Amino acid sequence: MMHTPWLKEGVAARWLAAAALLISLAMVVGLVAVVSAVAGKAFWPRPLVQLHLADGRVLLGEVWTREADPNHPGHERWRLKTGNRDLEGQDFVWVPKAAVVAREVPSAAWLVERREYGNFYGFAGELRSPEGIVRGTDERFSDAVARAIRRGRELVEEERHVLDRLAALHAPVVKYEARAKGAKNERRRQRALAALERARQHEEENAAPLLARLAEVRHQAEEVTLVMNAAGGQVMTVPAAGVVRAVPINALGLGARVELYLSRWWEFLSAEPREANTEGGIFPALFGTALLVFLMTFAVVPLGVITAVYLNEYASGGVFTRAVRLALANLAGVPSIVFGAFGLAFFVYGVGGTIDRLLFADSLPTPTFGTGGILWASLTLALLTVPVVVVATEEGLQSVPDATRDGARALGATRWQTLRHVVLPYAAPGVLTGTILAVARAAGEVAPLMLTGVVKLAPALPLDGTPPYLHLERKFMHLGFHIYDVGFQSPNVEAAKPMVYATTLVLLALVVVLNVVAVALRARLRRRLSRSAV
Amino acid sequence: MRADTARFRARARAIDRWMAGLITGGGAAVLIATFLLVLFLVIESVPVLRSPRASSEGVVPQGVPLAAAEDEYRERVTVVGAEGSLHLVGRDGEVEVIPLEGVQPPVHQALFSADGRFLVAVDGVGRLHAFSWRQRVIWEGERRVLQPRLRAIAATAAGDGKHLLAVVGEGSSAKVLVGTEDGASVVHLSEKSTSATNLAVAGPAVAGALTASGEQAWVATANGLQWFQRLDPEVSLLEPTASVPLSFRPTTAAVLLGDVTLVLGGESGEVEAWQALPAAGAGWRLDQAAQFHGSGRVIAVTPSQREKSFLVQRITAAEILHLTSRRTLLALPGYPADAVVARLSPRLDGAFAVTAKGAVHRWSLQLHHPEASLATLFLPVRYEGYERAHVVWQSSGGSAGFEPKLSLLPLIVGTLKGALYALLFSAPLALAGALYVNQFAPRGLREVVKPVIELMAAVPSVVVGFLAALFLAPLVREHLLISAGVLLAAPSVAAVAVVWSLAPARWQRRLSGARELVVVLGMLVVAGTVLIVLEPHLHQAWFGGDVVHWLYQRLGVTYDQRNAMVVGFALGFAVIPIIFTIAEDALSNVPPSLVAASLALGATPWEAARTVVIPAASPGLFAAVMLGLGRAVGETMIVLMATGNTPLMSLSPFNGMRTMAATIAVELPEAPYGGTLYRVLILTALLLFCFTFAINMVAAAVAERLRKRFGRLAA
Repeated sequence: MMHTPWLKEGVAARWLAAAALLISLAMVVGLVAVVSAVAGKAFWPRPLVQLHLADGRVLLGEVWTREADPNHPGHERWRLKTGNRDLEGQDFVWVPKAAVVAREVPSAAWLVERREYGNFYGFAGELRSPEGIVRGTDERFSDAVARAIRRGRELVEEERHVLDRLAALHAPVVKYEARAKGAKNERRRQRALAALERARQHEEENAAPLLARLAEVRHQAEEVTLVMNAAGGQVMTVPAAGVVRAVPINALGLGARVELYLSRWWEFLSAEPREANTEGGIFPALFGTALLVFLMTFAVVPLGVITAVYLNEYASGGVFTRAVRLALANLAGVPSIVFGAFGLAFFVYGVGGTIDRLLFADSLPTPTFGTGGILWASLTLALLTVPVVVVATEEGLQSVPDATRDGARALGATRWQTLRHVVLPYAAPGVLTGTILAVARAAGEVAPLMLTGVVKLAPALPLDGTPPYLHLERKFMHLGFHIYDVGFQSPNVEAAKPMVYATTLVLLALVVVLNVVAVALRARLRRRLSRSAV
Repeated sequence: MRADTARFRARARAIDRWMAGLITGGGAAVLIATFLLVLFLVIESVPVLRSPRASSEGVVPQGVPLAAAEDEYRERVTVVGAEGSLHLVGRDGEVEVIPLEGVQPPVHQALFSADGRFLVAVDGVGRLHAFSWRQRVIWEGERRVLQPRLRAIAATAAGDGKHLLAVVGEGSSAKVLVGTEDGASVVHLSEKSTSATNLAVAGPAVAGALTASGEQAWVATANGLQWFQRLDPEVSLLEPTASVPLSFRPTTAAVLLGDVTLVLGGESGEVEAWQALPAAGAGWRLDQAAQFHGSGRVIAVTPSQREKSFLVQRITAAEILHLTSRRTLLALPGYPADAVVARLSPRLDGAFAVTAKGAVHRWSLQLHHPEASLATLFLPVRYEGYERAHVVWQSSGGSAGFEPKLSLLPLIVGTLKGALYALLFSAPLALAGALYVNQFAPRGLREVVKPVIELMAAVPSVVVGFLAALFLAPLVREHLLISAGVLLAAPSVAAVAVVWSLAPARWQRRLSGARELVVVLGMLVVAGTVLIVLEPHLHQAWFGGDVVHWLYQRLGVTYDQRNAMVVGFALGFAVIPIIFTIAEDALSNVPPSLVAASLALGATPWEAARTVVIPAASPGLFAAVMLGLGRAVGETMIVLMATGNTPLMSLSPFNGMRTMAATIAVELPEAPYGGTLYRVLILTALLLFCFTFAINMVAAAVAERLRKRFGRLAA
């Protein structure tokens, strides 16, 4: 018999168990907190600090980290983002704190975010345009710069628009060239050559005005240039069209800072990536992720719902049913990378390779469907998420009271009619929950995509204005893979960190919101289930 | 009216039957998909172990042969005839003859280089001629033609009384290894000059070989083997860098692709692989790396230009052997007894032999994946340049001569290591947490905890891996002491609890439910704060400011920033929700009547949990841990990002690893379809599948048993 009170009451065990629970919860909270905190301030404007060093150098930049200097114990060093990659060759410098003689936050300092070479930090020079020169000392300078950047953006957009139209004109030429080259017999070749000739003619007739417009736009874009002075004395000249934004960042008030912060988030969500994905936005990745899970639902919802209906309404409980249940349990437990390997072997090389041989033989050996693409990736993910849909749908089906079914059957409805008009509408929240959970799972899944068609930078979206509009064979970008790629494969990991954290926050928020919705839906369903059981 | 109803009924019934069929088909689709999944992994991986095949392709007669080579497309075999010309023998027996310019018949000896692109011949007046020999594909309209191009490089009188051993060439120069009565020498031939380097060989050279780079030579005498480095045209006499006695009489030698391994053939059928390794101290030593079995005098050894296989030509047979797997891949079927020359085709898709009468025999080869066998995949292999047999994963290298090292063991060990650390961390946390929520927690806590744990399960693994690698790993390295201090959390909480339980019962009753939880939280916060405050002082006082440095200096422990500790923590993040959810379910499924009975008999809640609930739910708890293991083993992104991905065999918590899943993710997209690496990686995926399948079966069986048991109890 135990008489020791602490053994009998088990206080230690209880407390340890409580501690375990708390630590587990703290991990979740900690993860969300870290991501939110770092990503939240990623786009907040940092002050530009000017440092005068003992050796006479003057540095202007953002102080990113302060840490103990590993080379000089007891001393501190700062990591200063000095930008100006085109002038200095690097974005960051380490500055020993001891070497700093004087330090100030000059209100005249400007931040210029450029389309190439990253940020520029420096001081106002002048704005040159055909209308004349506005000097940095002029009070009209800020407004003139803002106007020039706006105009520049319009020109860049127009340039892209013209280029798109030129590309659309040229696309048939490429297509028929390939067809003529790969033609199996002479008749086909002749037909392709004739089509090629027509396409060339069409291009020739229509390209001239576009080309003229392109030259004009480019000329206009070159005309207006912004000249700035770096802290070290060098002069940087950039066309206004190459500037994303230019602001005297230290002089901004709170309102302007908030505006800048929000406009950076907007740019992040809506723009294309620049500079090897370390700047700009993540729009193609967002779009790719959305389209991927959208395509996936078309495969996974029917399959999952039918399976759940079979198991719950039709199954007889025999060997076959048990086999289906076992298969489902296994699909749920198989590592996602195995699905990826299967997707590569079966969809890409198996099905895709066959499609290529049958339908796209002309363009072989360049694969069309025989390489990773958004269709194969979404089908692979569909297979991966079937169990999620099945489980949630079954729960929905189980919430339908048997009396309802019996009532319908008693009125003479067939099994299918009962299902179609009574059971399924009743179980719809379950189906919806399952779909949302599957989408959330798929949105965060990366490993299988790496084998079935995700790329770091896709030249074109899988959905665009050129027929057939939805390009199922195209490779795509994905939020999760973007995190992996920019965080680990990028040449400039340090500069890309804010971007990666922000991407992580977006993905996390997406998944969390989807899950919260699903959980709320399921809670409603369960309340009904408990009512119907009574 | 009635007819309408009847028709309507019939239609409804027909639709009903159709839909029943469709829905059952849908159910079957899941089964089929799973089946396909396994099937395709098997179909794509099993061929890696397929045995090589050779099929004979007919005989075409020609003239007297001295040496022979074949073009890349296996269209024509080039045979050097004694009358001083090349005979290009096509598949249909058509022969084109190209005279060797400047060669005085009869030709006494001729030899092709291993790649078939250089030819040396000793003619009737003892002159040594070197040629470069190419065949290019050109298009004459629609017709594809192989255009031969024979170019004389140089000729020298040095050929008299010498015995051709080996030739290599590059551009418009060639090196020829010749044996003489008292030694061997290397003749350097180029369009501008010829010179010779005498090799200091003890006795007449019997066999020899040159590396493809032309920088090293191997020379075998009747009882020894010598290795010469740095063959320079300027040097007239070269001493061996290393030498070793031989236990058999060698007859022929060849250097395998990659220039590392020499294969020696012997008088009574011996075939041995030799390598030069750095000797202890300084210099080099020659080491026997492999021995192959076989009988019958070895006439010639020709290496493949694709990988580490080679053809061994014996008196009455020819075999293809592979260095890495130490296997005899096959013997050429129907090999002619009077064959003079036998070689492999440049692309290793065929072989041919020429008989003394000049008949050309051809074989088609399908070697499949000679470098992969069960032994090379799962057992230690002595790779080129290694002292001993090792298990190594290194699937690709910089050069064509790279020997792929495809041992799955480091990956399996890495996978299990990651899973082990993950379970060490997550299983106690998750099980204890589930027990607390299920048995002791205040009412309502469950409603809060469940969604949070579900959220934890929903966090994409790429997010966890990213934070583990870029946020946690540097933090842990910086604050290693705090990480170590966390290990003290459990004992200290327990100690405080024991002290507390000595307090008066009146106090204890007041501290229950939610208050207890708050107190524990407070203790954790205080402990954490103490650690953070103390850490810098401890750092300076005991570890000289840098724990990692201290670990290396005092204990010889290397520390990788991305190590098993970090991975264990991050993987734990992915595993905890699984274990927690399933364990909590198992605990909830214990019939309340059991607990009630226990409490009624006077047990405290802890005693009821310890003696009734946990034992009753233990199979479920076991299943929970098993499924957690399954998840940890298959997790990809976390390990890919948070380990260094170095295929180590170390179990140290401070070192990284490389797992099967991460290897598939990184290497499969780059692996050429149908190649050995592709198949081995698919095999890895199959192994992962089998592993998780087994775990799922066990967990399902356990759940079944549990249901039966409690089903009886509840009844």
